[in-house]
Amino acid sequence: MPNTSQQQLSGLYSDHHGWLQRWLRARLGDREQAADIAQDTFVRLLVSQRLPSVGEGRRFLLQIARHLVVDHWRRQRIEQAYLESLAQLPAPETPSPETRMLIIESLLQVDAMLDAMPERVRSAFVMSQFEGLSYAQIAARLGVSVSAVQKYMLRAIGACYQVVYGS
Amino acid sequence: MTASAERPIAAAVVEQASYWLMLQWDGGLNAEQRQALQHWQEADPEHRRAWARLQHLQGTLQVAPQQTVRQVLSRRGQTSRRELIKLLGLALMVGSTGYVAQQRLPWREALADQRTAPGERRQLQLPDQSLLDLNSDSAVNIRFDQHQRRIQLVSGELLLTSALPSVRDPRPLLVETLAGELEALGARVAVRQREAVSQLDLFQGELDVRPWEATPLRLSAGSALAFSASGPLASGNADLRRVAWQQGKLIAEQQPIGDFLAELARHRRGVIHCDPDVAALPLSGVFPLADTDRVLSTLTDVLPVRIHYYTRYWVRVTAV
Repeated sequence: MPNTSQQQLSGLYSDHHGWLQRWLRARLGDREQAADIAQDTFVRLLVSQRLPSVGEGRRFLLQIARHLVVDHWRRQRIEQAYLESLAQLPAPETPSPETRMLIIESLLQVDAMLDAMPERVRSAFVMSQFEGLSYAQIAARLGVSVSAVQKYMLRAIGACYQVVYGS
Repeated sequence: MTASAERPIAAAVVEQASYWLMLQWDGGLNAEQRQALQHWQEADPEHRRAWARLQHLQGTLQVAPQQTVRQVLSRRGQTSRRELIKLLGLALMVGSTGYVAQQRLPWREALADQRTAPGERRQLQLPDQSLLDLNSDSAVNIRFDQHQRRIQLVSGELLLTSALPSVRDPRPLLVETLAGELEALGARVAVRQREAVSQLDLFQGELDVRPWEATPLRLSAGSALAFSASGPLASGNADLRRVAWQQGKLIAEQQPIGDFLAELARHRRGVIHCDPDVAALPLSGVFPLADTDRVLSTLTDVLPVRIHYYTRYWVRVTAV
């Protein structure tokens, strides 16, 4: 990165880091997490190599920070829900820490996949993948034809692919 | 990963592969279809690559047991929606839907005026000089107007020390909970909300208790009461140990460790799971809330228990 943009970046940092961290703290209610995410916001900016034009800094940073907060909540919500579901298991059946990390990562992906699907597609997908229903059963439940379910499932696969591999 | 593995695959090829996967998901392929898929894959390395990607994708879907996925996903949207509302700074239209509707709104908590995170405690001075202490993981709305001084306890626990009588204020000082309304008369009172039950410890002054659907009653200093909207459930003596959190402490006296851990869990993030075979062990002592990890490790000195940290946020207490 050329020298001028480095100066621009450190200018952005000193102008905006303070309020950004306060803004995050008001939303997260936690000093440490707010500091982490404020840091991540600037790292994202650095990596993107796209510096906002003068006067746009605040809007630009807020946009990045909002994304990071939503990601953070998503992760927290999924981890919490997963830990609670594990807490109901008897001790010998609880998976190893490595397995748990793997499962949480995949749950995050599945969550993102579901987010990428329209409502009916999502219902069909969940019934097929997590309830083990056949397309005929799904068709009956949704009140549509089997070929409509097939179309939903194709769209679902498309959404999953998009999440994992981009377009 | 090599560059070729990262390279995008033509949309048409992905669509063809998706079609095979879609068929496979409905009870598997028959012999004829399997052979056709085989031929399709062999026709072009790109076909093979597309199919491999979809296999990988399917692997992601199968990492967790179905039951776990269902449990976790059933909570989708519940919290994110209210958090998003708060994040986006959206105002909510709470019209004349009435009290019952309001108390059930899941985002009520997120929109509270004052809230504390797990592990955080806060003291507020109210405009009339009363002091309001908020325990960990609690939320209140403060509504002062020309007719009343109203504090709504949305969740968690508060300790209200009303201003000295020298500060005369003709407006009633009210605390609203899910179970009813309290009117404090020169009082120092602890109020905690557990599900639909409100628990009170009155240390000073007097308190009028008005359950939403039952006859009001008056409480005098030194008494404790648990009540729901339909009336009193239990009464007893006020206990200062229950407000030791205000001093940053947790006090146990011959308390079953299971109950103690449930209380401690309110002061930290994550889950503390206590095995049933040790839950009844009695515990006594004064514990600092500033370092809950240390409290947990202290337990192993005084009781035959072992602490397992699965993650920083997930702790299990078992027999040695």
